[in-house]
Parts: sequence; C-alpha cells; structure tokens
Amino acid sequence: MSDNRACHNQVVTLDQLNFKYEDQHVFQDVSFEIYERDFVGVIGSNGAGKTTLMRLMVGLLQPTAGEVRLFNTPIQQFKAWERIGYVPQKNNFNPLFPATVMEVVESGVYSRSKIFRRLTQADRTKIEDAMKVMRIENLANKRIGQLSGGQQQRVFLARAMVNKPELLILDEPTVGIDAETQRDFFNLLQHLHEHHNMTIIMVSHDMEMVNAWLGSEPVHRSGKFSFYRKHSHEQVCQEEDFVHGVFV
Amino acid sequence: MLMDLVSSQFFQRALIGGLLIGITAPLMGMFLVLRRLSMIGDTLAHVTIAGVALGFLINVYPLAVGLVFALIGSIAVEKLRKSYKTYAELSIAVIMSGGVALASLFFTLGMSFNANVTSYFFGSIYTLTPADLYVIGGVTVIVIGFMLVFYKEMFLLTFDEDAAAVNGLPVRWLNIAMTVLTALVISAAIKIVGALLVSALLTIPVAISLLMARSFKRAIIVSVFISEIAVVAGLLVAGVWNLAPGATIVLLLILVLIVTMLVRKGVKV
Repeated sequence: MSDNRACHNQVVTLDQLNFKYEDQHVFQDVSFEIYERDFVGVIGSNGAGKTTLMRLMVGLLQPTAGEVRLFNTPIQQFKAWERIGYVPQKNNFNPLFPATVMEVVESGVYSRSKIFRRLTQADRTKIEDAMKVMRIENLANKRIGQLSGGQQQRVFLARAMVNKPELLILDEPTVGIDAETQRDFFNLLQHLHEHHNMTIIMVSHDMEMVNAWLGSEPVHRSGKFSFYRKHSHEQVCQEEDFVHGVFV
Repeated sequence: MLMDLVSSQFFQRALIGGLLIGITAPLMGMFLVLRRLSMIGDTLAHVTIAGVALGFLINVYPLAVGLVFALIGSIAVEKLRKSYKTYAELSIAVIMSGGVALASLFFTLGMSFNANVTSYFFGSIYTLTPADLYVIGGVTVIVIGFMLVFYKEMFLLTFDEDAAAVNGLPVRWLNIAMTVLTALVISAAIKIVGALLVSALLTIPVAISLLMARSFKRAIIVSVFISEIAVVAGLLVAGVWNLAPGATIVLLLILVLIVTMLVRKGVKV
C-alpha cells in the first residue's frame, strides 16, 4: 500500500515509552504508531500496565522516559482534547452516584472552553445525537446506577462521543458484561469505526475477543503488550491512489 | 412563649445564621460525600478549634483565626492527599491529630478562656454577634457564587475526575477551590453547631438526599431543603424546651434519616 498522507496521519505515537511506579518498572521501551482510522486492540496480561498505558496516552500520567504524541503534537503541548473521547474502566464509577443518564452524557461537553458559559443549542443537539447513536434516548432520565452493565457502557461511550472525537480510547470496555452484550458493543464500535471514520484504541485482556475482531496475529509486540490492528481505510487509500494516478 | 422567642433578637440572629449555613453546609457536603471525603469536615473543624483557641490567646477575633487555620489545614490535606495517593485517608488522620494537638497546647497556655472555647466545641448559635453574621453571610455569598459559576465543572470533577482532566478542566485548581470553600464553611458553621457536630451538617442532609434523589441537581436541592427544615425546627424545639440548639438540629436530621430509611425499606418490601 502506498504512503498516502491523507490515509496515514499519525494519531498517536508512543516513542520509547518507559514507566516506573515507586522504583518498579511497569514497562520499558514501548513504541508503536497508531494511524488515522485504525482500530487497534492492545492485549497484555494482568499487571502488564495496560491501564497505565492508556492513562499515559491521555495525559493522566507522565512517562518516566520517552514521549507520547497526539496528532503529531507532544502531549505536554496538546490542547485539542475535544478531538479525543476517553472511556475509562467502569470499575472507577460509583453506582450510587445520584446522576441521570442525561447529566452524565451532558458532561462530555464540559471543557476548558466552556467554563463560565452555558450550554448552547448546538451543544444540546450534539448531546441528543450522541444519545441517538448509542440508542439510549429512552434512558435519559434514569439514574445511571440503575442501568445494566451494557447500558452503562453505552452511556459512557455516548459521553465520549459527544464532541464527535476523531480518536476514541477505551480501557477494558467489556469487563463485567455478558457475551451477547459484548457482541452488541463490538458491533457498535465497528459501526463507529467504519461509518464515522473513527480511530479506536481499545485495551483488553480478552484475547479470544480481540482475535475474533482484529485478527489472530499481532502487528507488533512491544514490552509486555501485543498490538492488533484493523484498517478500515485500505480500500479508501487504494481508491484515492487510483484517483490520484488518473488525474495528476 | 413561642412568639416571645421568635421576636427576640438573639433568636432572629440564630435563625439567619442557621439558614445561611443550612444552605452552604450540604452544598459543600454533597461534593465531599460523593468523593468519599466526608471525614474532612471533622478534620478541619478540629483545626479550626486550634485557631479559635489561638485567637482567644492573642486576643484576635477567634473565628477569623479559626478560618485562617482551616484554610491552612485544607491546603495541607490536599498536599498530603497528593503525596499519599494510595492512602489518601492518611492526610485526614495526620491533620486532624495535628489540629487536636495544637488546640490542647493553646488550651494549656490560656486556662482562663477554656469556657469560651467550649462554646465552639458544642456550638452556641444564640450568641451569634453581628460580626459573626457578616462572616457567615460573606461565606454564603462566596460559596453560592462559586457553585453557580462552576456547577457543571464541579459535577464532572466529582463524578469522574479522570474524565474532567481528559476534557482539559483545571482539575488541580478546582480541587484546591473545593477544599478552601470547605474550610470557609466549616469555620463559619462552627459557632452554630460546634466543632464536634459540624460534619453532621455537612453529611446527614446529603445522606438523606442520596436515598431520595435520582439526579445530581435534585440531590443538591433536596439536601439543602432538608437542612433548612432541620435548622428551623431544631431552633424552635430547642428554644421552647431549652435544649442545646446545635445538638437538637443534628438529632432532628438523624431522625429524618432514620424515617427516610424505614420508609424506603417499606416501599421496597
């Protein structure tokens, strides 16, 4: 496949990433590049540092050495956080928290630029759109703790989707969800990837599931991680190459 | 008798002070409880008492010195919480013991004012001065103003601190603002219910509202409403039967909590 920039913009670059926790190496020299419209699965055993890797990618932790770049910008200088949707591990969430589905999804638009400002009609439309895509409009006034695991995961995905991000990062999204709901959830991710041109990075410990969706052979191994990748854009690149060849 | 009580100046001051704290305490308490920081109320109350004792010792308005101590205590808690991320509750234990130790030290240095300090331990809402009311009023304006401006950011910070950080919110500053506001509310509330009961006013109305409300907004409204009812009823009951007002307010809140739990259990069955 040709190196067409339109298809191959780097979205996340992990460059010689090291992380230590209280003098213990969690991982060393992890490098990988994630391109526009990739669907990447990151597999690692328990304790490999999968969540740590995700938290480094969104700037919640600082690497001991190495660099993370988002959309070709070093993470320390990166400001366009609305381009990224993040779904953290579900076990961080307090099920007794008094919040409705609407309140949670709405919080996806709260950003630095919205401080001192009320939500606009455009924000409201974005919130409604995200809820429609996730098929949770009928749950808007339900308390989030009352929903099933699968429904809760859709709510968190809707929150991450509100700003129509280009990159979606998910940390173990299917933990504690039954097999059928997992399949539904993956179909949904597949839809976002193929029809909304979204780049998706997903951490999982479920090798079987990742193999089924992203292929049986990892494209790269680094440290204790295996990276699986699925492109939705190969055909697009070929078509664009063809057009480029014909008209230029 | 009730009319005499209601028309008396000391009762009116108590009512105004109580109603103001009845708004701010559960308002801050909601964020503390949901972030599992309920004990911070007790900690800062003990630190405030140390400040009040120093105020008496050096003859400076005690509530003001208490407030400064509470502010320093709140920043110290936040710093320690960052240093001991995995054992965040350690910060609360360390600062609370520090506050108690300092208070005891100041008590031994100034034996003569111990009786005055006692009123800050158990509260003496009937002795509120106009200066106290100004302090409580100022704190109320600051807290309500902050919440009106930063309500949505505080919601996200409380619900999911990581998501707040990824969305680019100034998490560190919001955390500092929250602890500072908590310190302000505690030092203002201390003369009303006393250091030993101040965390009750922060947490019990919230505990009740969590049993009833579905949404965050409604939980805040319910907690403030319950707290206001308890303040008014508590002051009236205490005034008529000559009981300790702070303790009566807190016991009424506990009674409402028990009734709510029983009703909910009944509804479920």
